[in-house]
Amino acid sequence: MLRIAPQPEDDKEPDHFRPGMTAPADSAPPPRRQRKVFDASFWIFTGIAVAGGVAVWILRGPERFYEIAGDDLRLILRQMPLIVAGMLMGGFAQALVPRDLVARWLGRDSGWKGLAVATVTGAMTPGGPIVSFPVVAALATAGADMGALVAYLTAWSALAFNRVLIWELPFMGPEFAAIRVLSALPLPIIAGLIARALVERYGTGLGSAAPPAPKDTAPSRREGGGGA
Amino acid sequence: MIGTLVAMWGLAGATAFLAWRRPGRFAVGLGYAKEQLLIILPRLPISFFAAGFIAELLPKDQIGPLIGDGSGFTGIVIAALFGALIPSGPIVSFPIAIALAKLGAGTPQLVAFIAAWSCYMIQRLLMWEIPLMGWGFAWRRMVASIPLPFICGLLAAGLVWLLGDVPGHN
Repeated sequence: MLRIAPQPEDDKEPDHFRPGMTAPADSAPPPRRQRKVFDASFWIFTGIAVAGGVAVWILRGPERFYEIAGDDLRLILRQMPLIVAGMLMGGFAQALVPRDLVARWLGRDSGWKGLAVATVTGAMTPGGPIVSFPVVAALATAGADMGALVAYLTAWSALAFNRVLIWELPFMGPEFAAIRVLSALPLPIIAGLIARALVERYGTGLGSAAPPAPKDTAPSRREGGGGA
Repeated sequence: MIGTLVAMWGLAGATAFLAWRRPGRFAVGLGYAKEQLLIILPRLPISFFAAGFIAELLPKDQIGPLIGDGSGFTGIVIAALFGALIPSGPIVSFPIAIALAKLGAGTPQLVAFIAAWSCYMIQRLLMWEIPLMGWGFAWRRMVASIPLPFICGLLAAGLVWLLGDVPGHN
């Protein structure tokens, strides 16, 4: 499912840009936060769950309370092995997919092909924002086609094969997952086209980073960085 | 169910094997997985209980028709607006989606809910996009994303019409 090409020099920690890549100094380190396990959001949700449970007990009776709690517990226990497998898969895939590769694929083509490549790459990118956003930020400041970047981000979040495996298949069932993915397929392209139209009209809105030399000469290629 | 389980653990094993063959990658991957599991495992039961109890307390007779099968495009819009408001990851949004299904949400409306939550990415917008890319990029992506959940919901309605609704869905 993942495109894993041999990457001889890619065995360094992938949380940093390659020196040759175009990240400006001020945006270089991604805001990598170590999230606390029991933070405020955990306790807020615990509060909602407890209050909801008490309210159901009082308003609908203990029997209904046990029925709902039992249903939820069964759902959680049944899906737990799938979630753990999905998390492991996501973690290893995230460690395997080199950012350089994503960057190379994304920055390469423009026009319809660029949108299509961005859609496929985005859908296949595993894991959370730690992988995707730094790549996109670097490419954006390097003057890559904003349509492709928006298509990539949209595909990564709206198609998200990783999330389909962990959440949608187990919890919503394969039929629902299939309908959802199929109806989301054109979204990255649509968003990419709108983004291109916006850039046409308002510029890229990005800083003054110099655009790289275009690698192809497709007539539809737009130079990035023009909005500075 | 058993098939899915075997496939998922097979894929997990395959990625683990690939990572193990490249120096240092196995530990890094395990670290990513552990980080996510530590966050998700304690939260998952709590968000399911919270969503389940709240759904029970909401007036099903009134919410059901708003986003139910018969609610059409209006229901898609309501569900999408609701999805846009969820500033959180899948740990919160999927229990809510399941609760909405229990309240009687139709398939296209649920699809629009998930599309809005995932396309608008309110959480990522604030934590990643604006800090890393700046407002200029962020607002263009947001504007480009505005129509997506509605298109997605309509396409899902078309698919349901063409292929039939999800089994077990009333």
